[in-house]
Order: sequence, then structure tokens, then C-alpha cells
Amino acid sequence: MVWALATLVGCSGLVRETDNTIGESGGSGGAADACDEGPTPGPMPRVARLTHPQYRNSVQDLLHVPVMQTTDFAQDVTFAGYDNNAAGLNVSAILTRDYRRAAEEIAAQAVADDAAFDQLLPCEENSADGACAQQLIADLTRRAYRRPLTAEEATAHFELFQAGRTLYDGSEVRNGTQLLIQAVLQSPLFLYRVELSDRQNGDRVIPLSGYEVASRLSFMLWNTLPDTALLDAARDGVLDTPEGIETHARRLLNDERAADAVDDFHKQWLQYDHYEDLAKSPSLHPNWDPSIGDALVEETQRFIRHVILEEESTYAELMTASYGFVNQELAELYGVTGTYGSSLSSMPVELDPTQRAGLITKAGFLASHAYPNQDSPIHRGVFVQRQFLCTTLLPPTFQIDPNLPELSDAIRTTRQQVEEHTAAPECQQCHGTINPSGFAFSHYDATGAYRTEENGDPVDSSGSLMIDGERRDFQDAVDVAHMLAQSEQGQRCYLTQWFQYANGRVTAPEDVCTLDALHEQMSEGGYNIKELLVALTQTRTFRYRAAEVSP
Amino acid sequence: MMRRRHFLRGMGTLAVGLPFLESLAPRRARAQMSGPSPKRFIAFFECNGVEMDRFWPNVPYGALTPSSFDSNTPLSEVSSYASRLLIPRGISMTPRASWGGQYGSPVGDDHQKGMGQKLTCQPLLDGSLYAAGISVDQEIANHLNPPNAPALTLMVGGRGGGGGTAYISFTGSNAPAAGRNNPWLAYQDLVGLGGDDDPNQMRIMSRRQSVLDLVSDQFDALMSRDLSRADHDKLEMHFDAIRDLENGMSGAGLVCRLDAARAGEIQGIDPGRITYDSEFKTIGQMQMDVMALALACGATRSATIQWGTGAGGPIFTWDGMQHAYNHHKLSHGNIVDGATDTTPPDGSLAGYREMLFDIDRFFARQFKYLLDRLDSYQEPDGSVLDNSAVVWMNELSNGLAHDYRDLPYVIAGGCGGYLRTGRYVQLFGDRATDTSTPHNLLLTTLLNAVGVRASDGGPVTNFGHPDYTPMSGEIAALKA
Repeated sequence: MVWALATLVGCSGLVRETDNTIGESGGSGGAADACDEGPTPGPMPRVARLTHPQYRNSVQDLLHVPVMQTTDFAQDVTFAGYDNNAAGLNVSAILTRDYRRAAEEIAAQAVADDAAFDQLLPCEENSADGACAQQLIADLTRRAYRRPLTAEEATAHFELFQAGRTLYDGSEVRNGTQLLIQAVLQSPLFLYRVELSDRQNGDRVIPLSGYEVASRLSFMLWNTLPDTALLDAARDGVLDTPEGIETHARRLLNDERAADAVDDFHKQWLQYDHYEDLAKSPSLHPNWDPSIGDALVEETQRFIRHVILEEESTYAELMTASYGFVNQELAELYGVTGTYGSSLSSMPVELDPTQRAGLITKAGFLASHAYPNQDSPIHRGVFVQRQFLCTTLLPPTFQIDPNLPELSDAIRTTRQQVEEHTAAPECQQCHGTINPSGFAFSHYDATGAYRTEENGDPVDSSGSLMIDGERRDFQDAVDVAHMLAQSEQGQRCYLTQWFQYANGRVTAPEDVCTLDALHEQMSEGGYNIKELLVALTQTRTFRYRAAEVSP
Repeated sequence: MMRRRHFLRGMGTLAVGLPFLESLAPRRARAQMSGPSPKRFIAFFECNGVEMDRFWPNVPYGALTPSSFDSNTPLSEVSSYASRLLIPRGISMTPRASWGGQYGSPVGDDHQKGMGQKLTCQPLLDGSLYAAGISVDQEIANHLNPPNAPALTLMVGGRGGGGGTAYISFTGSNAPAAGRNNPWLAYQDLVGLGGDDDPNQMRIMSRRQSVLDLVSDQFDALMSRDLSRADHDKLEMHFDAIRDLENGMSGAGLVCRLDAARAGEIQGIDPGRITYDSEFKTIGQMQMDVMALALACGATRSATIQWGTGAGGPIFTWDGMQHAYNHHKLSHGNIVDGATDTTPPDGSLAGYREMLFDIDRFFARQFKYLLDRLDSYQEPDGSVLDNSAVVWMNELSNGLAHDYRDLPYVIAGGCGGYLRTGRYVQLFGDRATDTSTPHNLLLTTLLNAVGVRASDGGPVTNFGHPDYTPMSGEIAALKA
């Protein structure tokens, strides 16, 4: 985690700022006094490359062909936990070659598939003339580049189309289209979200054009390029007002494509792709099969979609709802009676509310933050602190022995092993915070199954946690889930995570006012998540660009 | 910029106007006939340390022969290469994990430091935990590869959550090079166009030229706008890469092709299973086939292959191994709940050191697979292996203790006679004060071995961050 606003030099006690930093702070903390004049738009790049999922979604939407292995590009480097951070979205020599290969293969496929090609062609194939080609070019590039071509650009594309007519083996119109697609998929106007608006308004900020707003909306809420309705709204000036943006934000969120963006954010925030291919000790957990990973991932994904998109519910629901989606394997893991199939139940199933509350008690999280043979309070505690409370934890500055002390008469549980192992004062500077948030999960073994005893002793999952600046006692992880759900710190952390994802960058000092205002607005509305996403589109950071060019 | 662009366009037009074979002929002739063959560097990266008590040859320092390796070392798997091996003993990481330097408190855990520093001799950056400078493989590529062709960076298995143990190669500060873990795509990088005899060559090049013309104008228009430096640099890097993509074949004009049967097998892999443990060996060997080909056909002068991640790694359940725990967990031995004692029956997993030995032997076999592949490509002055330095390395020595001293290095191939092979070499200084040979000296030696030169044309004298490279120069004992 790197998104602290402060400079961190050590790990000695808790200092709360806009985020929650463990360490001494040389912090910024300022900027608050500027909020009165309306939040300043945060720093946004003018060119931000599409992420690989955005590229794949866009190709599918544009050309109506399925994604192919050729788009399995080398993984992008993540910054601050999200792979859509513009700082990491470069085009290396390798990716350049990838883009060329993919463009050539996809172009060939798009014109070879009659059904797909028919959707691109605005006329009959055997009567395709120059006007037809020009219409095809205009339609395709308007969607691909998310804006209409200039006259000069239209001429250049038409020339390319004409050159392509004899360069392949198909009909001339298919050949021209194939070369057009081959070029469009390598064009910077397709591969980057380009925002060139540069005229200030009376408020000394730069309003984005309708087309630029349309792209921001669809890539944020759909993880793909805008549909025709959104482009038409841009053309007609509808997106020049907050009300118009809100109308379309709600339309997008009510479309099934919103699930893709919701998945993409939560997958990275919760790192739930780590739930796959987990190995557990065969002697301790003979029934564990790593193939359960698919169900663990799908369950968390289904749960999140259900809460946010189907129930249109709140952050608190996400953190505390005691239902899940189970197949037979998961039902057994969760101790649910009844018979289930191999795929997940279509309806939510009630789990024991004294054992399960929302995201942090999902078996996937618990099993992936555990060893093959025992639970790991440190891994679980660090994750809760970093991802749910936005605490910045520094790694140890000295060499550590990673081995826990051995079990004995005095040390009988994992919790006691960790307490003994991290008892030194220099460890406690951070582990004093980490450990309790991990011990809360002592009821869940290495697979995420609930237990009441460990090595013959009753489980002790109690402790206390600093949250919202005060120390609060809890009995177990269900308590912690409810504390997080109701805490300003937990809510604001979730908001900040979304803000960073939605804007493709880490927070900057000038974002403090925007985050303050969003938090206040969300608190009043019970932290409804769909409303949060709409609210993100209403900020000045979303609609404007700061007049100063960032370095 | 404009001048260069027009020059490149001119070249493209020329290539289109000539018969394909003729246009490539001069390059091929140059590659095959002039002077000594190119020298290469390959890093073969195993993670999580080795079983130190049973790794090294059980013979005195000095000459290596096939009989130098008994069954108590995994290196017996490569005994047939004894005369072409160079095994330096007593190299340690600079700096040790606990050092600071001007970056203040060192960040990252021991695995992250070991992997990030191994090829860079740089500290890790606070926050990202990526190295603060370029790695030696990319440095070699910058000096010796065709324009804009980076080092070949391959990976076997999953990258975990990314971060400090996911990368060993860096194109600069905070810029990890993500290794490809899909061998079919790695192979596609080399293949480029259809083939020498493809009747569509002319048309393929014409299409690419048309595309290049269109997007060049778009890049020019974008870059003429008032952009931030970061945005401008991003576009420029992309545009440079597009213009430097060969319009024709990749590499030095040799045909970069595997035989059709092998290419078919690689194409047939299920991309969804690439990171599965069960595919570790299969994918690894495909990657090594691609790597050897890339080095042999001139596409790159340096390459790395990273097997798994530090603090991770697969669960080995093949080649006679039936492990229940992943490599990292085994490296710490304390598998039974709460165990710390490294000897059974007090709680450690019975036989875990034998398991670690078996893992090292698996890697020795894969190392041999790579050497066999490289040795199968003959050049006028020896095989590609003879003209390479293939270095088996690891971010740690003893994985249980997270030790950075006495690191395992096995070098194969002499880089065309630059290195003195067939030797087991003592490089320890004073162990009590830990003055063993720092690893930046090895990287410096390797840079010179492949032919990188300092800006004044003389030998490279040091590599890495000044704080982390207190000693400079090469390791004389390794040189012929």
C-alpha cells in the first residue's frame, strides 16, 4: 500500500490523517481551508491507456467477436493495488508487438465472421460503394475513438480503407474493413482515453467535453467504451450538466454491464483472484480440493453483485450480510444443511449470523489468508488494516525470523504463538495494531471453516481495536465486521478505494475536500454503494480538469 | 523526430519494393559471416533458497570433471557439462538485508530484497517495493539488442499478488518488466511474419506500412498538444516502439522457428491453466525452447526465466515428488503446527530437507534441459551455449535462515572464452567479518563477458547503486 498522503519514516504509533497512517507523519494535512471555494479538480492525465480488460471489452463491443488468446497480454504493473493506475499503463516494446499481433488477428476474425461483419456494414455487401465505406468508417471510428472524426481524419481513414481493398483475399469491402480495423486497434485514439479540452471557464477550471465525459462514465461504470446512446448524449450536450451526467450514470448502473466494473474494482480491492489454487494440508483437511477456488471466487463475486446491483444496498450490508451463495462443497464448509448442486445456488442462502457477517467472513478471504495447515492472524490482520481501514503499515525495518515459536504447554494456539513471536516492543509498534485485527478471526481454521476449539482449548477471538480514533472491544470477527460497517474510518476507506479506482490514480492532497464532501453526502444517505458511484460522477474532479498542467 | 520518421518510412518503402529474400540477405550474411558470434547472458532464477548442505560439489576447489559430482549434489544432473561449468563459491548479496544507505530504512521482506536486488544491485523503493534501477539483462539489451528490443523476460507459474517477489528484471527505476508466462505468446513475439516462403509477405508489409502511416500522424497530432511531461513521455515511448517494430522478420534475419510439431504443442496449451502448479514443468520447458530459439536466432542478447516467486512457488507433485506444501513452506521446514526445530521428530516435517534436495534436483534437470537446447544450436565458433553465460541463481542461499551469504551460483558456458570454465572457485574472503565477494562484481564481470562497454569504450567497472556497490571491478578468478 503506498497511497498515504504523508511521508512515512517509521512505525511508532497511530497518526490519523485523511487516511490512516501508522507511522510518524511529515504529513500534508493542509488543503482543508480551500474547501470553501469548491473542491479543486484533482490531477488527471490527458492520456490514460486502456487496461487489458478494457481493451478486451471494447474489442468485443466494437466488433462483436469473442476475445481470443491473442489478447492475453503481459500483466500490467499495479500501483497502489489497482492495475488501472495511469502511472503503470505504459506501452512497452513487447506490448506494442502484442497490440499489432492482436489487431491483425482480430481484424481477420471480424471480417471472416459473417454475422459480426454484417453488424459493421451499413449497406448490402455486393452494392458497397464509396459512400457505404465512408459511413462504415464514421460509425466504427466514432465508437472506437469515442468521438467523431474530423474531416481531415475521415479522409485519411478513407484512403487507408481504399488501400486495403486489394491487400487481402476477401471481397473489397471486407478487405478495406479489415485494414481499417487493423489500424484502429493500434491507434492511440483507441488505446488511450484522450482528453484534450483546454479552454478554461469563468471558474478557472477546464470543463471536459461531452465526449470526454462519456468515456469517463462508460470506462468507470462499464469498464468498456460508450454505447451509441451515450455518444449521442455527448453530441447533444446532455453531458454538459451534472443532471445529464447523473441520468446517464444511473442508466449505465442499471445495465448488466455495470457488473463488469463492480467485479473489476472488488477483485482488486479484495484480491479475490487469490482464492484460486489454494493448497491445504491433506492430513488436516483431507476433504479440501483446490478446485473449490472457482466457487470461492464466484461466491464473493455473486455476493457483491447481489448487494450492490440487485439489492441496491449499502456498504454496511456488504460488510455484515449473513447470507451467501453456496454449492454442495461450500455448504459443507459453511455448515449449511441441505443438498446443493455443483454450481452455486441462484438464491442467497442464510448462513449462521453468529458465525458469518459479510466480506471478511467469506471462506475465500479466510482460506487465502492462512497457511496450508493453520490460520494466519498476521496475514488476516494486515489485510483488514490495509484494505478495510486504509492503514499504512510499513514492513519491518530489521531482519525477522518468520517462524512462529513451537507449541508447548504454555503456547497452545496460533494466537498464543503469534503473541509470543511478536512480543518484543519493536514488534509491537505495528503488531499491537495488526494482531488484534487478526485474532478476531481465530474461529476460522486454515480453510475458513468455523471452529469453537483449537487444539482442545476454547477459541479466544476477543480483543480491542483502534477505530475512528478510539479503542473498541470486540468478541469476534462478526463484531469487527459490524464495527467496520458503522465506522467512519471503514466507510471512508471504502470510499477512498473507489475514488482511486474510478480516477485511475492515487489520491492527491487536493482531493481531501472532494473526499470530505463525498463522505458527508454518503453518510447522510446510509452509504448506498450505487449512490456512491453516481456521486463520484458528480464531483468537480470528474467533470473538470484543473487549469494547471501537472508535471 | 520528423527526420527520423521519414527516414524509417523510406526504409519501409524500400523493403516493400524488393523481393523479400533479397531484402534480408545482407543482414543474414552479416550475422553469419562476420567475426565472432554474439555473446549472450541468461539468468535461470530459482526462488526460496537451496538445500545448502547438499548442493555443492563434494570435491576440493579446482578443476571440475564429470566425476566431481556424486549423488549427494543435484549438480550431478549436469555432470556431462563439467568442463563447461564455472561454480563460484562465496558470493554474497550487496548489501546485506539490514543495510540502509541513503534510502534510509531498507524496505521489503527478505525475498523481495533478494529478487529486486539480484540483477540490479539497487535498493527497493518505498511503496512499490520495486528496484530503484535497471537490471543487468536490460542493460545488456540496451547496449547490444536491436533498437527497442528489450531483454526477453519469461516467467513460469503465477505472479502471486504482484509486488516485490513477482519481478527480477527492471528497465529502470520503479519499472519492473513483467515476464511473459504464456509460451505461445512469447513464441509469437519471435515469429513475426508468416515465414520466408509466405507469398503474402509483400501484402503483409504493405498493410503494416499503411497502418504505420495513419497512426504516425495521430501520434504527431497528439504529441503536439500541451501535455504534461508524463503524458508526453508515455506517448513518445509508445510511438518509438511502434516505429522500431520491424516491418519484416524479427531478429537478425535468421528464421526464428521451432519445428512445427513443437510449435503445435505450445499453441495447444490452455491459457487458463498456465499458472497451475501441474503445468509448471511443461510450461517451463516450452519457455526454455522459446528462450533458446530467441537467443540463437538473434532476437535478443539477454534473457531471464523466473521459476515461481519468492515466498511462494509450486507444490511439487511430479517427477517422483509427492509434496503437500509449496516450496517456500518447505524451505522453512516447520510444517507441523508450531514447529521450529529443524530436525524431526520435534515437529518439523519429516524428510523436508530431502524434499528440498529433490526440488533442487528438479531445477538441475531443467537447467540441463536449457543447456541441451542452447548447445543444439551450432555457430561457426562453437554452440550458442559456448557463446553464452547461463547463470543459475537464487535470491537466498539457506532459505530457512533467509541467508544472503554463500549464494548458489552455477554458470554454464564461457561466453566465447571470456570465462574460465571447468572450475570450482573459492571466493570467500574473511567469513568472520563477512567480507565475501559482493555480487555486483559478478554482474560487472558478466557485463564485460557479453561485450558491454563503458561510455569511454573501456570495460565496465561497476554496476548498481553507489551505496550498494562499495567495491568495483571484475572477479579475476572467474576470467580466462
